Amino acid sequence: MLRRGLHSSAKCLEKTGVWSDFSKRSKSLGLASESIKKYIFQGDSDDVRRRGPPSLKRRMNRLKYTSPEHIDEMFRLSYEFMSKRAEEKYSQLENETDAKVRAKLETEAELHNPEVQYNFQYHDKLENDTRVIDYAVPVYRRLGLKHWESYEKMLLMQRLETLSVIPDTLPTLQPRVQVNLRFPFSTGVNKWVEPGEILSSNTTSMVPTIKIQEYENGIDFEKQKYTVVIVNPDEPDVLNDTFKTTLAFGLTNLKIDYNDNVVDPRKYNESQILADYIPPVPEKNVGKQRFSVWVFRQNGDLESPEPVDRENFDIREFVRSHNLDPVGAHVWRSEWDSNVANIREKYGLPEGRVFHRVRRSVV
Amino acid sequence: MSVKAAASSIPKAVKAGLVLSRVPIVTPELNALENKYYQYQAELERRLMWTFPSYFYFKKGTLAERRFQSVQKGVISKQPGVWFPKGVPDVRHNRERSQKQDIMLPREASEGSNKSDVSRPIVPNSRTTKADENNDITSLDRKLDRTLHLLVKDDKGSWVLPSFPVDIEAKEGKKALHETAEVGLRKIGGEDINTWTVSNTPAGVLQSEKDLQFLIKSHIIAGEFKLKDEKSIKEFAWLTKDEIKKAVDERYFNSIQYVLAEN
Repeated sequence: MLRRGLHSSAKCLEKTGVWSDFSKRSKSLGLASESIKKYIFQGDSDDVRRRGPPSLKRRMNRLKYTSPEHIDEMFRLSYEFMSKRAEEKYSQLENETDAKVRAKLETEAELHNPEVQYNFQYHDKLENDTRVIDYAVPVYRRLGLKHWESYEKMLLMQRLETLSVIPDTLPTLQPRVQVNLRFPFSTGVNKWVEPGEILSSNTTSMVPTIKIQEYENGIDFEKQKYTVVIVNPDEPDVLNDTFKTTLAFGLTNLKIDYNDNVVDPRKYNESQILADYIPPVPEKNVGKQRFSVWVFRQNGDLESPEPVDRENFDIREFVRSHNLDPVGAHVWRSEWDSNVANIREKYGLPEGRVFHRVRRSVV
Repeated sequence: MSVKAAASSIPKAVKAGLVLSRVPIVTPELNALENKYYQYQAELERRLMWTFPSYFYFKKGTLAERRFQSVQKGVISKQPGVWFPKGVPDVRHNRERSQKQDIMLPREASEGSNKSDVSRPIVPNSRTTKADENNDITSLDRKLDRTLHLLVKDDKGSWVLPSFPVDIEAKEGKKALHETAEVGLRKIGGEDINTWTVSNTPAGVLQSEKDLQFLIKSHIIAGEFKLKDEKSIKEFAWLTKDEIKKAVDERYFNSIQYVLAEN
C-alpha cells in the first residue's frame, strides 16, 4: 500500500508555555476544536484514517494535502520565541496595579498567540460566540477595534459626511463605539445594514435591533448607561419653507456590556422608551429621507425625561440639556414606495401628502 | 556671579578622547530563528516559482538540449486508469506544478580542472581568522562580524580610551578637539593609518575631578595601529563591547558604554 511517511512527526511541540495554561486565563484564548489543537501542537494522528489537517473534511483532500516545507520547525521556533515574550509580560503583570497598564500588558501578552489570532480571524466578529471571541478579554477588544477601524469606521464616517448627517443633526462625531443595525428577519432583509443604505418601507416597518460594541478598556458597566435616538432631519416644513427634524425612536438608560450589547425589545422596558418607534413613512415626491441613529454615553441616569416634542425635535438642545456624549452613529435612507400606505394604516398614521414640482397653495 | 561660578566649575585640563572603531567586515551570523525563517521563506518562494522556460534557453533538437534534459529528474505524468493518492499530476513543461522545480545544470566535461572557470562553485572564506585562533587582541583581523574599539593601557595599568591633552592656554596654533585627537593618534600609533573622523562635535564627555574629556568618534579606514610611544602607553588592544566590559572597571564602562557599538 501507499503508506509512506507523508507526514513528518517533527511537530510534537511541547505545550508547556504560558499559552497552554488555562488555570488563570480565559478559555476563549484557546482553540475551541480539540482535534485542531491536537494536530497543531502534538503532530499528526497515528490513525491512518485521521491523517492530515482536521479542518479538511474529506479524507481524500486530507491525504492530498502537503504542507509547506519547514513550516513545522518554523512554527515551533516562533511559538517558543513568542511565548517566552508573553511570559515576560505575564510576570510584569503579577505586581502591576494600574488598571490601564494591566490591560495593555494583558493585550500584549496574548496578541501574538496563534490560537487567539486564529479564533479572531476565522469566527464571526459581529455576532460573537463568547467561547471563541470574548470581548471582555482585552486582547479581543484590541483586535476588534483594529478590525473596525480598518474599514467599517472609515466607511461610517464617509457616509455620515457625504450624506451630511454631520453637521445636519449633530456638529461632528469621533466614533468610539461600533454601532450596527438590523431589522427583524420577518421584514425580509436578514442582514446588518450598511451605513447609508436605502431600505424599503416594508423592511423598516418594525423596531430595529441596535448593537453597541464598546472597545475601550475600563468602562464601569454598572454605572455607564446609554441613550439611543433615531432622528429624521428631512421632514418637510412647508409653512416655513424648510425642513424639520422629527424623532423616530428614542431609548434611554440602556445597560449593556462588552458581550451582551444587542439592544432589542427584550433589552428594555416601558420606562426606558423615550419615544415609541414610528417607522419611516416618507411622503410621495419628498425624495430620500435620512434616518440617523445616534448613540450617546450618559453622565448618570436620565431622570424621568419630560415628554419630548417629536415633531420638532431639537437634537442639539436634547444633547446639551441632558449632558450626553455622542460616541457612535449609523444612518439609513428611506423613500416613498407603494407599501408606505400600508405601513401608515398599520400604525394608525394620517394619510400622507403628495408633493408636486409646482406648489399649488400654502397648506 | 553666575559666570564666575560657572568658570570656577570648569576643570583646568581639557582632553580630546578618541573612540576609534573598526566597523564589521562581514555580516553577523544568523541565529536559529532567523536561519529557519529565511529557509522557510526561500522554500515558499521556490514552491510558487515560475516554471523554468527551458525551450527559451535550449533550442529544440540541439545537443545542449539533450544534455540538459538528460540530467533533469523526470516527473510522474498522468496515466489513464491509475490512482494517484496525492492528486492527479498537473505537469507543464516537465514540471509538476503543485511542487517546486529542481533544475539541474549539466556539468561540462572540462569543469573541475579549470580553476579560472567562471562557473566554478563559490567557496566562501572562513569567518574565523588566524588572529581569532591565536586570540591576538592587537590584530585588526579578529572578530570580523563585530565592531572593534581601540583601547590603550595607561601608566596606571588600566585599559582606557586613548586621550590627548588640549592646550587651551596656547596663544598661537590652537587646535580643535578633533584635530588634537587625529594628531595625537598618529603620535602614538604612527603615520601608517587612515582614519575618518565622523564629526568635529564630540559624541560624549567624561568628567573627572582633574579634567574634562571630550570623546571624538572616528573610524579606521586603512592601515594599522603600530605602537610608537611606548613610554606613556604600555599596550593597546582592539576589543568588542563585551570584551571592554570585562577589561575595564565598571564605573568607567558605564560612562563610555553609550558611545560603543552594540555589535
